[in-house]
Amino acid sequence: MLGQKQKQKAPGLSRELNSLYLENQSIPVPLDTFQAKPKFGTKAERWVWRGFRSSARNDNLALYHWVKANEQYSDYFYAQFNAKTKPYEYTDEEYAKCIEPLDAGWTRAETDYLFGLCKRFDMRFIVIHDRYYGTTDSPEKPADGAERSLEDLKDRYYSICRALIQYRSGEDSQDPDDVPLQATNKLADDLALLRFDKKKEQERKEYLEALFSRTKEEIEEEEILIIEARRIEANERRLVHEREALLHAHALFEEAPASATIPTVKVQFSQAPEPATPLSQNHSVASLGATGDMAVTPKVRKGAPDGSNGGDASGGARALKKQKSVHGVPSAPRTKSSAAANKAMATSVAASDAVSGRGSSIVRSSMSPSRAMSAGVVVKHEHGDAPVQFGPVTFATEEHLVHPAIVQVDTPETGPIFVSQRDSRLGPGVFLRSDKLHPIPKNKLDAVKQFMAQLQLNSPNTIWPRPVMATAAVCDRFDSLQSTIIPLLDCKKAADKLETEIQVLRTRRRMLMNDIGVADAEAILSKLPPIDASTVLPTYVSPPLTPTIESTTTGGVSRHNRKGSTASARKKSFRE
Amino acid sequence: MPTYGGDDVNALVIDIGSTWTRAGFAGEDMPKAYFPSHAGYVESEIEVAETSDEPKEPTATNGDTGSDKDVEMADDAQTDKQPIMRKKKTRKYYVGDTESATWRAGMEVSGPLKQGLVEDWDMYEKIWEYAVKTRLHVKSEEHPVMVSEAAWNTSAHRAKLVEMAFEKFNCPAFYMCKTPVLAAFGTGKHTGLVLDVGGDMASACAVSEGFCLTKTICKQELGGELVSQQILEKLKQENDYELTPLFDIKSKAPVDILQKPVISRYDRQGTTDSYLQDMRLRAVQEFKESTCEILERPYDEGLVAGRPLKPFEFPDGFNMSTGSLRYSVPEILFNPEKYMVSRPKSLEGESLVGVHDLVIKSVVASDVDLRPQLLSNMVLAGGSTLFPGFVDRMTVMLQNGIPGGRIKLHAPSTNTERKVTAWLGGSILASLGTFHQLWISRAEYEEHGAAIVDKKC
Repeated sequence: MLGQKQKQKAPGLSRELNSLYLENQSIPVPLDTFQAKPKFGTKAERWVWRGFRSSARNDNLALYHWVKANEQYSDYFYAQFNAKTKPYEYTDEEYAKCIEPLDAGWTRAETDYLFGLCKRFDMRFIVIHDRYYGTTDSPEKPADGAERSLEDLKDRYYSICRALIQYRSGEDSQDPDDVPLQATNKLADDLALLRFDKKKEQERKEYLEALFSRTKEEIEEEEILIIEARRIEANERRLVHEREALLHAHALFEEAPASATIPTVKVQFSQAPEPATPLSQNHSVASLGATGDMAVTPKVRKGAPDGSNGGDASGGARALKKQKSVHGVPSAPRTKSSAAANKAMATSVAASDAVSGRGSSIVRSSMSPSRAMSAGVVVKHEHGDAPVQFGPVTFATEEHLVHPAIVQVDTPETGPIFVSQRDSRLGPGVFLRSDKLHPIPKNKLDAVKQFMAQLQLNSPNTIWPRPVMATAAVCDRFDSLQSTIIPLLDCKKAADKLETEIQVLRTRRRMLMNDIGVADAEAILSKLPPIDASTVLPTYVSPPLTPTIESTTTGGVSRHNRKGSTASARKKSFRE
Repeated sequence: MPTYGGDDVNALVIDIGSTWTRAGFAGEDMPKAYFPSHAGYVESEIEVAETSDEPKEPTATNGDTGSDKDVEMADDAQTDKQPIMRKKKTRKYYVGDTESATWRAGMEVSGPLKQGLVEDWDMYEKIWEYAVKTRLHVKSEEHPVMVSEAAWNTSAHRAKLVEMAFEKFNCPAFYMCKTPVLAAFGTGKHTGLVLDVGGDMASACAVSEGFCLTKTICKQELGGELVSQQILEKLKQENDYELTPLFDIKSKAPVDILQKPVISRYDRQGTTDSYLQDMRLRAVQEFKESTCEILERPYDEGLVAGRPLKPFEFPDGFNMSTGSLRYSVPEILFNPEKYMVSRPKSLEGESLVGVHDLVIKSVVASDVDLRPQLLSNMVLAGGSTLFPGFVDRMTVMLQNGIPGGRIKLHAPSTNTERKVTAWLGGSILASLGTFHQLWISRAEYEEHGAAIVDKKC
């Protein structure tokens, strides 16, 4: 043991110091790792100062550089980058035959000189133009100061190149029909590449020059104009958008009961002028479809959220899947482009006008979806050209109206089945009936909740308003209530906005009248044509609402707006 | 072979400017030698043998003594006439920072260039020799040499230069490149508009793909030295003060602000005017570099009044706090007609424009297709662009002058680099592997003569 200890003793450490350490502890001692001469794994490369010649030079200049001794080059490494452009060249004969007649303003000597410069400056025409009269062998400057411009030089060069190509290709084969197609294509390509339109180029440069020499004021004016134009455009877009939203809101509110059938009816009326019962309407659609009137069928597809014409199975399902309208809102205005929206709205309003007369009959003859389903009415698609005859299904109970869309579901076992869209979004399995209720858009959730609170409808669910006892009838009713509240709120918002606008305009009018004097103002006013309310807002001319909605609306709104906003009150009075 | 495209052949790059000379090895990032181009010379008369048919009048002071000697020798060989001893003026040159600044009785000081072109070939040769031999310690016959030249250099000057390189210095290979091209390369561009405000000249020139466009050259004799001179003039006019350079000051005593300096002089006899002036310029150059600035916006008295004063003490003890002076004098660069204190004789009758107008003129003179590229690649080179605020001011002036253009100025960020931009470009160019095919070799020179330079460079 002791002997071992002695061996472990580090060199240069005295016995006394060593004994201070505990026996089984190692002693940190600096090891002598320094090497005066580092050892590398590989041998150092030998570099030599060696002369080299480059094939890019045409003299024998030997320059010297450091290279690795073991590396040998046949040629100078960078000689490979000595790329030169090859401008066209011509022989005496070619010059006499095809170049001479091109332009009388150029002599042979000057042309040669130009081609020499092209070669020397690698076709950098800007440099060629710059040096054209500056070199020792350059041609005399024209006395009248008409120096060759950059375009002159380019034009000369490219026209000669084109002439040469044509001449040479013509030499190979006299008859152009003999030339293989590829060759002619190549010829055409070459000629196209060498095309130079001097006039156009000069014109382009003039424009650029004008653009460059604009003053600061001109540029600022231009910028202001651009900004102004953008602003006007944006304003217009906003205006169209607002107007559309306004019309939309009104259409929603007023057409709510009949909306589900509107698109069908619209098509119906445009095609079949004679008034018809709902049943006969569908008949006529069917017959139209049978005669293969393709102009009608797509419209029916698009605008048949209620599936009343859903017999057109292939298109119907697809179209209906796109249907996002969850509140029985007609989707036509949404899917149309904004430009056509107003027109479409007007026609749909007209259609609803026409429909509303028989609105009750449509409603009466419709079946409740739930009932249709529970009764096991599975409408199968009759294969054939004619769409399935399927009664005008407007989902409504006797007292109130709900208009969910119908979706056709294809299953291998049963074939196509028409399901209320509301039901189709539910997955398989067990679910609460209240899940079938249409969800409320998030941004309107608070308003709807508040509204319901005012109606003293207490919901057990604080997040989503839900009926307490979700029976089928209650759910239907709840859904219809929801689908009435939301358009109503939209409408109120629009009305409030209009009201403030009117207020602002009134104030302005008053101020203006104060400014110019009452008598003058009245004189001006009397000259103006009388304002027709129908021209301002055509949607105001609309049929009266169904009593159910009316009562809900007025009651709700008046309660809601007791504080003094007169929007709905005004509207009410307008209607009355 | 290295992948970055460089291949060093130990070339020398010499850039002799009107005030400073830069010389060094290609491939390095700074010149090894950086010294004033102004050299001193003392003229002395020595007796030389001359034949009687030599012209009687004494050789012009700036004549090429080298070639004269050649002629004499040839004449000696041809004719057997009795040589007549005749007095002839020769010059002894003193090149380098300390040599040219050392006081010697009768020593004149001048620069080799006039308006960017070589005027005093002897001095040019001496500077070259000094740079290669004394500063770089190499033999000129062992290294290819690249020199810079003014953009407006003439064919005759170039021929003479190439002759000097091969005949006097025995260079194995030689190349000369125009300063704006080198400055553009030094900032890493092959196309751009180079504004070079040096000691003597201010010039703007468009460079397209490594070629200097001669039609776009706009130049005028308005550089940093003129600014220094104007400062001297201004001090004389406003404070009745004439600077005494250090070489004449034996002792000095501290004085109050704006008081006459209290000094005792050496009273050196034989001090030449040019030497005195050169020393004064050196002293005032320090003042210029440490206090002068350029206003970032178009000149406005009110704005200048709000700027802080800067104290400065000259070598003779005269001290002052400068306010408007340090802004108004450099303003000469931008508005020479208005702010010139007193017009030097050489500029009388010439209409001067601001440096920004040089640039605008140059841009307008170039092809319209090239202009956007030029505007977005403006290169500032030369020591006189180093005034604080110069770049900002230039941007403002150019934006006012060319409102539709997208202007971007490129100036090397470090001051030392901007002083040697052109040299740096030469250093890059001469160390490129692909450049070596462009050298004019001795064989080519012997075959074609000096005219080769116009073909190859």
